[in-house]
Amino acid sequence: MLTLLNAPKRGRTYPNMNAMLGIRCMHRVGGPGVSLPRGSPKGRAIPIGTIPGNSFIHSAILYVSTAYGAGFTIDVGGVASGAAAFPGTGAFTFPISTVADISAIAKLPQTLTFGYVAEEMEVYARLNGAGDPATGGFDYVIQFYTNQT
Amino acid sequence: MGAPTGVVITKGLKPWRGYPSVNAIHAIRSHIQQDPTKFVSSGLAPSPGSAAGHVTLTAGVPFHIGTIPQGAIILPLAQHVIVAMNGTTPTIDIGVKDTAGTFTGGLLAASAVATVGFTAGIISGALMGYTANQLELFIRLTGASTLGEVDVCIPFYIQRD
Repeated sequence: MLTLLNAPKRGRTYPNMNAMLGIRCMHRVGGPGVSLPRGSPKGRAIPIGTIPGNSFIHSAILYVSTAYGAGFTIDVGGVASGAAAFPGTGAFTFPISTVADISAIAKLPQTLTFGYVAEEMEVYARLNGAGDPATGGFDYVIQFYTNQT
Repeated sequence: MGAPTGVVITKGLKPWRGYPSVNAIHAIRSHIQQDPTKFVSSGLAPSPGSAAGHVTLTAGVPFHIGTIPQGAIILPLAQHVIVAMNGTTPTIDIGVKDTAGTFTGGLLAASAVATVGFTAGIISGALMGYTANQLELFIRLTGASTLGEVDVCIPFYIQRD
């Protein structure tokens, strides 16, 4: 069911700009940023942006600035735009990061399995872990490029 | 109206296209589509290959993909083999030509494209990093191939901040 909480965020790009664009998911426990409904074993996926079709994901990196404690992870991934079912707590059609560790402060370049995005893709993030974290803060940045020769 | 007298426009080369005062990472990207059926149009709609701006390479013939301005710093490349290229050991190179017009490479050398996969952080080319000269970049396929799809992205930054 589509609610204000899971409505996809539209792509915000400059279609003819020869520049790398980005999507950033910023989360702070008790602070600014997106609100991620924690869950165990999986939280509920929240939309963080849209990557246009025919784009190229160049890289993704996770910065954990404040530790969440043992057992906390995040998932980031995509589904085809306009998909009938929202990812919720299930698997992403196009996983980008799966159970990325946010238990401790770290800078974690993500190992991608794909770059080319054939169709418009909505990107989601979710917070996984048991119990509410008392502290925690992370930023997840995806760089992508929309133009081509 | 043509170019002003005395101005030489090199045929077929794409000029540097960017935003000179934006603090953003620019890039050059090439999407190779070797499957000829992707360029067949049905009805009034353009073919999927041409509609998406994909290009087909001829083995051994460098194809111009863009220009990096003087003073830029070239950042790590990424390559995605979406559909494995067929043929005998197909590889791609990305780089420049010398003054005689001979392709000399310099950014990506003999990168295998016969297996599906994503490779990030490619920094092996001699031209990586700062470039004191404007670079006309070409991509070249070695080994004839009639099937396969590869996407390559070359980011660079132009400001000195």
